[in-house]
Amino acid sequence: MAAARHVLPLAIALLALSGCGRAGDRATVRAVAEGFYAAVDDHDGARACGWLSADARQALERDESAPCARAVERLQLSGRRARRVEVYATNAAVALRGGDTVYLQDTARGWRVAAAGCRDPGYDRPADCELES
Amino acid sequence: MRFARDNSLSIFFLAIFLASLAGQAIAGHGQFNHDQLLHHGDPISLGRYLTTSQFAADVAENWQSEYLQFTLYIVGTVWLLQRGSPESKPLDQAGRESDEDQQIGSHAGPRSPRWARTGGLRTALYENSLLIVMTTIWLSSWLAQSIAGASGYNADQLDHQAATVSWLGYLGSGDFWSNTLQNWQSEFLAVGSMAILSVYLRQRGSPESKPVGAPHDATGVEG
Repeated sequence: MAAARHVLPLAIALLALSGCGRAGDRATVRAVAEGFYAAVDDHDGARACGWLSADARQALERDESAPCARAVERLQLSGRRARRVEVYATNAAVALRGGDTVYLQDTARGWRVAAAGCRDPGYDRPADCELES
Repeated sequence: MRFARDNSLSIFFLAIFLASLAGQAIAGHGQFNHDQLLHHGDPISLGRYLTTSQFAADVAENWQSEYLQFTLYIVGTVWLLQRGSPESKPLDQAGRESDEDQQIGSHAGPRSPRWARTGGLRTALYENSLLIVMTTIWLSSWLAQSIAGASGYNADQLDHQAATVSWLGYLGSGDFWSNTLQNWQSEFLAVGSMAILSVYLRQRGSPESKPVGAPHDATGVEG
């Protein structure tokens, strides 16, 4: 019973802290979002496409009727450096300074961009995005 | 063997608690990955699922409602009565009762817990210790539910490219109160059912029941 007195509060504390994100996720998510926007800005379509999730890539190629490396350079994106990073479980969002919000998913290949060029997200309304999967 | 026999009730419920928690983890992991695939995501390992806010919220929301149930039951049965129920005190004993009835202070016996004898703050704390601990566990697990629930809610918001909410904002959300109240209603129904069904029904050998031959209006009698 003495053990239970110590185990229960610890268990409750661990429950509360779970889902806060794994160490390093915030830095990784920031790097992926900034890396994608930098690649598009540098007109390096192949590098940019490497940061996209499989679904985002397929959606882009379908919507633009062009290979990803060419289609990604047509995206109207704004921003470069991260202003705010949020990570919840396998989903993340990076708001860029003076610009867009980028949404990411944790995939089998690591964190990848699922939607980019997003503006005006509401609590009950998804953001309008240049690219979404 | 004697230890096992004398503590068989606790051991049994600890064992089935651990088994059902493990089962919940496995089933929840399967459901989480199913949902991932439906949302074009990738499945995660069981180990990672156990660290997710979804698993934490699912566990905590059930813990908080169970401990709330016991908190209300403990304090409610001090003053509230149910004629004919073994869950109720006798009809003429509503309230905190006398020091003599409760074996406190000078009325404590040689084998009474030490803090029942000492008086003062220690006795005041000890005579409410069950309520204090149950309430603390309830509030702590409710807090854990709110924190983990907010995280899971925000993960879903981001999955739909929608805005996230603060923890305080989540406390006012339909998601938080729906999850809270769906648990509360079942707990309150269970306790209420037990209080009234035990008036008329019997289970031979259980201290939760009146003796089989006890009259329906016999109150506060255990089998």
